[in-house]
Amino acid sequence: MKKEIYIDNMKETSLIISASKVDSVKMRDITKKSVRMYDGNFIGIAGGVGEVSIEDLQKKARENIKNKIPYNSEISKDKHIEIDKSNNIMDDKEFLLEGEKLLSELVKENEDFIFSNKITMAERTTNLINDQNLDLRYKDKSMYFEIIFKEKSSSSIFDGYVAYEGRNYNREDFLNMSSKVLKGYKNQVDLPYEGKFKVGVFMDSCEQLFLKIFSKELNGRIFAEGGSLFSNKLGEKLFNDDFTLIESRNPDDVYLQPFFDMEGTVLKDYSSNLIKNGVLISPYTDKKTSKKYNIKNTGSASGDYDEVPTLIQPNLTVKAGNKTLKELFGGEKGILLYIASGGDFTSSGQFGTPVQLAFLYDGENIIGRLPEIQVSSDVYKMFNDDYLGVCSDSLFNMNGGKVMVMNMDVKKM
Amino acid sequence: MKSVNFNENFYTDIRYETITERKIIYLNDELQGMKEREERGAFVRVFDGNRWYYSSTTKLSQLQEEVDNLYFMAEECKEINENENIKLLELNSGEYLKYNDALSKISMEEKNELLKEYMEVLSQAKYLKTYKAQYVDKAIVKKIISSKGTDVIFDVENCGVQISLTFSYEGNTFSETFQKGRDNFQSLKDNIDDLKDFLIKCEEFLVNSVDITAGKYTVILSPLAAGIFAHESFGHKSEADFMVGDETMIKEWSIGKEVGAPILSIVDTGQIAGSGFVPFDDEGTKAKENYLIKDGNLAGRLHSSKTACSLKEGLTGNARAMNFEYEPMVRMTNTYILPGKNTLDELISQVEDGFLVDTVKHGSGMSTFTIAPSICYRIKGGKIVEPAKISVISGSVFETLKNIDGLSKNYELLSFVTGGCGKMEQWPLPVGFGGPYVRVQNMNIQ
Repeated sequence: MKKEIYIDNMKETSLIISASKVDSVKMRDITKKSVRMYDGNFIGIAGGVGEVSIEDLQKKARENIKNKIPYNSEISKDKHIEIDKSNNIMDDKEFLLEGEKLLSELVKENEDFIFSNKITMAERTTNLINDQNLDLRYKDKSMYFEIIFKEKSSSSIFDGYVAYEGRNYNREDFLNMSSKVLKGYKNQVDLPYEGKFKVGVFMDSCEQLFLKIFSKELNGRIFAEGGSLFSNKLGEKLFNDDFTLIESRNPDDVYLQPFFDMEGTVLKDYSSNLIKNGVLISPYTDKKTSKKYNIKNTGSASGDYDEVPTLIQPNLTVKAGNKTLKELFGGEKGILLYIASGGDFTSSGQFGTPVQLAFLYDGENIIGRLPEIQVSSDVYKMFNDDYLGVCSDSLFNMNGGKVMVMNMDVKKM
Repeated sequence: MKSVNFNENFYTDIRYETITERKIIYLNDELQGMKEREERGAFVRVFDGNRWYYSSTTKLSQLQEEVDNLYFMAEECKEINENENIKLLELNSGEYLKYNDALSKISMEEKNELLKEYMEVLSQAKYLKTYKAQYVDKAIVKKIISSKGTDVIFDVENCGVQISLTFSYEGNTFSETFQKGRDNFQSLKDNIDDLKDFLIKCEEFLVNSVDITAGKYTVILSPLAAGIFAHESFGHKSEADFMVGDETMIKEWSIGKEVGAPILSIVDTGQIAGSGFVPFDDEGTKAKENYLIKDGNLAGRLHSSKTACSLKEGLTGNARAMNFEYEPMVRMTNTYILPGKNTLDELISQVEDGFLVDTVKHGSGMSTFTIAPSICYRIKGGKIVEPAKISVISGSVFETLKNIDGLSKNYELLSFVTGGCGKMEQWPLPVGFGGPYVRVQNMNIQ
């Protein structure tokens, strides 16, 4: 019988903001543990939070083998990797002071707005070890802010947000970004016309909406069973030469997410191409899907800490190209989608979404806030002939800030 | 449970939670997982009259240290009991155990058999390519104690079946999800035939659905779609935390203001069994029936003690947290549109060119609401003519509420066992929603 132990600890300190003031301070410290026992082709798992002992969990996991949950894959072994990205971040006390200072400057510089929501500093430690010489240890500490803004004269529940996620927070950069967004917000402009525009998708907030079709249709099980829009198209050139879709667990790009999946798979360079230069390379898979359908394992096993790892959509992103934002927009006035939610693809790949906050943008400057618009296209247009690329630089000269540019149909709501 | 000493110069409350969850999962015909889990944790709140201090922990043997640590961060306030927020908090006590651990008395074998009965129906589908079927149940026992004297214990239970289905026919694919959520196991056995009807509907959509031309149309929303609409379009706007310290919103949202068609009434209440059952909220406030809109006019809003105090209104029982890891904030419970006088056939017969939205993938709501439909039907000349593919329905909340011109007399309040409402980082929070069939003029369809 083989034994595997998973331990995950998340510590957070948050400042909760209401009516532009720090309303409350929250501390969270939660540890989740599980033991997996493998006996032949079966797995038994037991897990718990807080003050539970590994010995008790091991006993329960052993008992749970009676449930006959099949697990036919070879467990990960002979790998020792430790990655610690938790350096160079302030301690809790400094964070509380910094949070208050940031908020006070944000409020002072933007008196026409009310701010709310939360800023958080989090530390995560995740270990996966087994008696087959597997020892994977990940530690990270990063900050994530999502500060909602609302113009004082506005009757909306909120008008937008400014956000940050990373390990190299700098107050001045955050305030500069906020200033650009809020200044742009205050300057209302008209949509110049209805029709085709160069549309920049702000990836920090809108990327997953646009990649939703790949999250769904590139599920290895659905793909292999013939239920995907892309089934039977492996190896085909379906999209633009510049379109490369990757699944990433690279600790340099991804925060508070271990570099290994729940089965202990570690990818080369911590990432895998699903679509490369427009060619469909692979759906995403875990060990079981990979073995059953003879497809490469892309390390996409996920699930709750006390469940059998299973195939769940991974963190997908689009590889940046060589062109800057200015080059992608080519001097034209286009549209920057800053907040878009609620849209979707139809089963045949047609896409539409309302855009709650969009700016008129020329590749260098946010010119002004557009009225609410709707954008539409089709998966084979937006990522093929109409696809222009992801910028090599950043919208706000900060962490993230990538923009994916494509031509789309734009109409007023 | 070790007792905790409270410092009289602070307001303190502790919410203990025991969450028991059981899950059985099949991928196609193969068992993928079977688990029983119990989690125990606590959420501590300390208020010093100026700021709240929270701690979420699973170290239940060290709760006194957690409380003392928050006292150390806060500032002592001798008049804390005179604070308006603290005065407003309800003082409830007693044992309100409705379910008494009923779900744990049913064996995993019996639950597995039920799921298999549902799965057997799937063999009738002609174009089903793959599925994931799961049985889920959850029992939560909460105990809330406070320095004011609250000492209440209550429970909620929910169970259900969810099946994600993927179909394919001649190159067309379609994915849908069947779900039944109930508050007792026996009633899940009564719904197996619903899956048969659902499969027929899905396959008809797969084979016959057509693309549509975007534009403005009359739309009839099913009880599911109407519930999502009520929740997203107006429910979120009724959450009073968006109004705190905001003079514009307070003026804009004055009680009595006309906000919808005169036939429209929307209610939120945690009193009804199901996924939105919240007998006490996470501050210990007893559930109430709250009209958000009555006969087209703004009738109320949803509160925590903090927002109710700030806006000088009464408590509503809507301070909810996803679990012991999170702080309570203003959230919905069961939100639904009250029924009208028409039959569904009457509503359809008066539509010259429009759509019936039957099932929905998701919805969202800011000033613009969105609904991403799954199964829809085209209506022409007062009759349903064919299934239709729509990517998103959207519109201004207030314009849409005023464009409602018909409500069916039958209505449904739906319960769910997976998914839920998302607000800030707290997702998914179990809620219930529903309503009658609702006809709306001039909706924007993409």
